[in-house]
Amino acid sequence: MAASTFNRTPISSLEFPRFQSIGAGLFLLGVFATFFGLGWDVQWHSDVGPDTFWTLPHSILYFGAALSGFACLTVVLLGTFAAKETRKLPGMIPILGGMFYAPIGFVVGGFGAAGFLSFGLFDQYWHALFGFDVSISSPPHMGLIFSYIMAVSGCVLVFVQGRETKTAAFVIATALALGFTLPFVQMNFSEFNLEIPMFLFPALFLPLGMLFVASVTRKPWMLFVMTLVFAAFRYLCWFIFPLITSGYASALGLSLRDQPSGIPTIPYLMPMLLPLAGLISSGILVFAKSRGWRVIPSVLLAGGLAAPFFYIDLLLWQFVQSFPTGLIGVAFLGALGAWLGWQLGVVARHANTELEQVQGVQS
Amino acid sequence: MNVLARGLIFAALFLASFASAQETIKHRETVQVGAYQLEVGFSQYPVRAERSLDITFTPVGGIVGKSGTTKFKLVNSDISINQDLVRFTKNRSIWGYDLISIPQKGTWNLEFTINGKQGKGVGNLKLEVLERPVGPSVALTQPLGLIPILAVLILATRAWLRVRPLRHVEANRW
Repeated sequence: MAASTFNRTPISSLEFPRFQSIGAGLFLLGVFATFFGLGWDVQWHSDVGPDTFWTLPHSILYFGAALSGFACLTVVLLGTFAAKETRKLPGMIPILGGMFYAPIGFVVGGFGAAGFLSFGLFDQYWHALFGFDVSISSPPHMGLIFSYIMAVSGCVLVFVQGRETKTAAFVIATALALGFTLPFVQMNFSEFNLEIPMFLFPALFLPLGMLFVASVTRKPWMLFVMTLVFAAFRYLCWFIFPLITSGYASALGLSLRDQPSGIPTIPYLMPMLLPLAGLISSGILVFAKSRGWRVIPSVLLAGGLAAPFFYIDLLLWQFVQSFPTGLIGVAFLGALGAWLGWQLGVVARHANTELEQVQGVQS
Repeated sequence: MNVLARGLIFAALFLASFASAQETIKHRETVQVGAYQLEVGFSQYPVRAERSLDITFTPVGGIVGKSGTTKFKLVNSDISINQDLVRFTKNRSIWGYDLISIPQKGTWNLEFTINGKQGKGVGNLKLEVLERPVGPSVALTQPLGLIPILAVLILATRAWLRVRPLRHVEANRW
């Protein structure tokens, strides 16, 4: 394969069209609402209990999914209209053999939101058969969780258009994606086994997300900023979920269980000192870059050295105490996650060949 | 009109699935727990495995000044569920568990321990738990839930392969 040449001049003509920017904003708002509603719903189940479909947390989470789906569908339709009536914008991919055109993030997000709403209906059917939620790992719940991961992955991608990135929104969307994926996947799998999800998932997923940010933005400090945003979500939910749960319960004339968990469940599963690991990772990348070190070994180091710091945490520390040598495996997994994240960042920047040509990259 | 009527019936059935949490007690059993008489109520009866239900516990004379525990044990197995008796979320004047399910069919022994002014009492109740409700099996429906994540993985793999020549170059640049 011939050597690639890169023209790094910013392309101002690649500014997102207005409808795409508005759609992306609404999409982000939608996925945040769903995250918030799901986290509150888990708290409601744990601290109060009585469940109907028409609780406020359910309304918020399904509103969020509907808003995300609406935003994605609108952008797909407007993108198709623009492609067919005026000109096809770079970054729009054909869907169903060219019947529709839209940026990849909105396509993935739209399917994710549609999947979420469909599995919501499936969940109602499941409840009619088996009663209300006893298990988090029921088939419709798995579908809901994985559909949301699909939606939030799409949301991350809508802020990346080749080498052009809406950095602030991209960082927020990635923090949200990690803040959802890690706790919910851990909760889901912990019904089968407790230790493996607790050791494996933080070590793999967090460095993946962290190095993905560094790779897409090509700004090592943005990795640290993303971990700060993640922490902001975590502490916001930590304080707000118990407050609104007890407030909503008293508004309905209900009171808390005699033995509530006393712990905000979802934030409890989000490592509390992630910014410390983020600082270490970013610091390693900045240092390595300034010294001209090779990239891949530096990325592996940034993930491998940061991962053990996730476990200085209210929840995860108890697993380290019972199995301290597990931290060696954590470091290896961290390096693997970092490598995957870095490579996926490159994939996200360069997957669209049309954008490549417009942005002056030929391979 | 016929279509409208069918639509309304479908809508009513659909909305009925959004059932209210206020399940009523359909069956009651009385258990002697030492000096205490305890009424045990079930919101679903007969009880089926994996089907959620409320179980209430009402001691004669009320719960004030009393505390207790339960041990639900599947006969001839190691499976048991131990819990404290806590106030029922839908009626704070009695004890109860909301939205629990019995994991397996078979004969279960429900052992109650109550402490109060009349000392400690222990009592037992045998409960026959039937087969799980007729419905799609988890083994068949679980893969459905995996479709979205498989779609993401396929998409990521496809993009990964497509970018391969450039990825080798770009991944090694700061």
